[in-house]
Amino acid sequence: MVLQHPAPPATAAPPTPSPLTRRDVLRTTLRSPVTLRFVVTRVLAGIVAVWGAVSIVFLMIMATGNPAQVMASEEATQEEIDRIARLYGFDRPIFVQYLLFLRNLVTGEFPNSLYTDEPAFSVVLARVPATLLLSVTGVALGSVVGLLVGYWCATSRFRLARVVPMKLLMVLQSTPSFLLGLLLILFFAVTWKLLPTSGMGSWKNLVMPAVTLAAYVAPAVARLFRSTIREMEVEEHVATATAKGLRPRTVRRRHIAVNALGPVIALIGMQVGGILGGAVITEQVFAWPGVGQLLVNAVNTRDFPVALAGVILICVGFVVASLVVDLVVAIINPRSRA
Amino acid sequence: MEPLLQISGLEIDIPTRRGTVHAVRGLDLDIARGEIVGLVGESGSGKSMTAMAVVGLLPPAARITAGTISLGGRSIIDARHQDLQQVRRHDVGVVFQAPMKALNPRMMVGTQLREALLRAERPNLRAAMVRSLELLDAVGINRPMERLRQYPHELSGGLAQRVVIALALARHPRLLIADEPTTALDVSVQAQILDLLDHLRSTLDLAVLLVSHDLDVIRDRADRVNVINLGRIVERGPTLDVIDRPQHEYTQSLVAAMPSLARRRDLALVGLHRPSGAAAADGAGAGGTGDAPVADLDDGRPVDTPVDQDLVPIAEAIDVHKAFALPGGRLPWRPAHRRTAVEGVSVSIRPGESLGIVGESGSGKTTLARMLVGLAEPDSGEIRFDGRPVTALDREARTTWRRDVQFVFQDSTSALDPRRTVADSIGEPMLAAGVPATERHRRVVELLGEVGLAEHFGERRPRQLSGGQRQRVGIARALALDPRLIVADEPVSALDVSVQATVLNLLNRLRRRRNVAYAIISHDLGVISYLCTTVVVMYQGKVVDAGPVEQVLTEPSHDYTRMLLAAVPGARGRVAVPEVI
Repeated sequence: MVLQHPAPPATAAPPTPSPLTRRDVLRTTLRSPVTLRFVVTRVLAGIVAVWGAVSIVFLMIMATGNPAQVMASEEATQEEIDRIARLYGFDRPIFVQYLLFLRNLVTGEFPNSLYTDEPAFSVVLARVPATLLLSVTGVALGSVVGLLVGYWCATSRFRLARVVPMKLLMVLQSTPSFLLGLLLILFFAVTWKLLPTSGMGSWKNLVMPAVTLAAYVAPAVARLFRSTIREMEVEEHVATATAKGLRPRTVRRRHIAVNALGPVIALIGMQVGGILGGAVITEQVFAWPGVGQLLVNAVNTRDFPVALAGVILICVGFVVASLVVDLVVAIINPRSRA
Repeated sequence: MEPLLQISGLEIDIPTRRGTVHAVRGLDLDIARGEIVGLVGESGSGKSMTAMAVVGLLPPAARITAGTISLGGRSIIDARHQDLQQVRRHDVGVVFQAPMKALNPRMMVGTQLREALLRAERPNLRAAMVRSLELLDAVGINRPMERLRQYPHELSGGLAQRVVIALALARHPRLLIADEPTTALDVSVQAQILDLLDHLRSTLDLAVLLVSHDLDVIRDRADRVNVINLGRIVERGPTLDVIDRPQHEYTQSLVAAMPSLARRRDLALVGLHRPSGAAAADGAGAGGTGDAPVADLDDGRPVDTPVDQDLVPIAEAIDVHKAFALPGGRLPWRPAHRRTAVEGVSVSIRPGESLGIVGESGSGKTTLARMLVGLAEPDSGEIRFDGRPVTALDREARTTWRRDVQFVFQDSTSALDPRRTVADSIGEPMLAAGVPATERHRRVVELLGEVGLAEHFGERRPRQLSGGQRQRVGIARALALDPRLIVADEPVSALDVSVQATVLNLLNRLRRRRNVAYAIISHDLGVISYLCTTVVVMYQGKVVDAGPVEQVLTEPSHDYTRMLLAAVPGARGRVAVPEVI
């Protein structure tokens, strides 16, 4: 049992300081931002989430009625429908179908596109780079603008500077993407002829769709960042940092702003997840050849396997995005690393 | 000798919607090098405002309207912002109240220390590290190398406070401002931190401003003391003179309200009567809640009726164990660590008994209390009610158990539903028990009277009450169903000294009148001594000492109890403290 009267501190001569090796310095300065346990837990949770999402997709297919009927053309006879059902195993018991479905997903044996007869996943994957390019650019642009405006509005000494940018962003937030997109096209492409109206090619094609996406992301980021900074300002450790004699700017940036990033990063992650599949409107407006556009076409033409592959891909995208968010947030909040 | 810090005529105003609050009103104070000066007062007295004004950490709304603060002969209050920063950087270190909150949770200890160093002392990582290790060593932290790469949440409260002190020392200050440095810490840790401050004062020739609400801490540690009330110093002088022979009325009442091991048990504490209404609103932000003094409450002498040992205990714990799972292990499927909270504890509370459960944080006292009232279940062992295991109670007996054993929480703010009126909160247990509305109303008014609140308080909501009033509402709610046992977890630790006295007196008076039994969980031996007849001392999940309160507190049988008693502040110059092991 540790029973000691509080010893007079530090009276004993400190142990002779052995010269610090380079290793000592590195060891005490660097520390892995996340534990192995944390990563493994999150990856496992991600796999479970993907499985859950895929199962829900399967249930929804079953709920829409006979998938063979959906896949067959509208004038198909009953015989043809039965043939399709046998071909894809739709006549087997539902549990067997579920297992087959899972097996096919894992092995990549998926029905081909009903129109191009290419493997459905290749069709979707071919569109992924375009979507990634657009969503990463758009979200990055929106986040940077949102973070800057949020920081500015939370810390500026001038009232107008705190209020005006936020109001402007709120106007932007309440403008629907299709309207903003069309307005951009009208002015920049039609009237001033600065940028191409649609398609993908040079960086010029990317500008307007990315701005449209950014306009959707930035306001939410700015508002959240501003309010978390405001909350963080009154934390007691900020007083400690000030009392240490740090410059006010250093305190604001290193001890307030960075600490306030956690919720914002979670928000951005969710936006990325959503935009992977949800930039549908933007992609349509600018004829951007991404996954969203493909999905819309697939649904319209009843290209069942492609739609399915797209949905599954989006689910995986969501899970990966939130996994990344968890890892990044853990760097900012060490208490969540366990 | 020329004082290092000199405050004269300081006035601080806080404009609010309901008018200006004069937080500090013409305050003078000075400290010389190598001297610890105490500033003692209750919350809202302006003591923290004064301390924070010195380092320019006042809340944004607060304005210094008059007076000067000078440090080493140089005025710092009129100094431009940039100058103030230089002052902070070199001359003043600050130690805050809650060490865990005072450190940035995102950064390793080493990073935070490095930041605090003077630029000249951190030309590179290695030099910064050498200096950081020196600092950690100076504040008595063992294994400093490992601490550097730890995050604040991985430190104990005492260690965290040492780190905060190391941060304060990083720039070779001449003045140390310690704002309630040990309020959030355990008694034994408190003694260590205060020892450390004392040690630094003498070795580094520091001037220390020790701000505290705790008279005993000030009494033990300060050379001179200033008593502050409503923004003014009401009494000052050598510490022992002021506290042992107070001249001013306010100091006298403060001393009379302080439960302390050193006072005689048969003396009732005297609650303070705050200036009410306009005076308070004009004063220190008391908010003018109009706490009408109820004379009756002051008769709070401890009750020492003998307990009939033949009676069947109302509540009893027999060899209970409880452990909690902690996240741990390198991989998720490895077994988690388990932390034992309570390990083979047996206690019993008989009718008329008042049992004190004493221990430091992590000793398992709260877990034990929660098990006694059924808020937690033991892993093994048995909780009994009226001699029957609670697991074997039928539906009806369970209801009786829930009604007869009530719980009073530490934090009265979160224990009450903010949207409900006081009357609703007090009436709720009766509603659940099916008491009709008119009867309920009558009983609520009665209960309010019993805890010293006027009838109109029933219409208020929790945030319209002061802390002491809220805690009294919590007690009234516990009394609503006429319980036989009240289990109270640190019932007064969140309250000011004077308010604390009224609540303690209330508890004693209720016991005298209603003959209700208590189990009081507290870290404060003074509180235990005032409220309890028997006491158990817990340490690391086990009961190490038990018996009648006077016996345990005067002739402790266990080393840990002796250590605990020795660590309690307020002993200086009064009784010989037994030298412990």
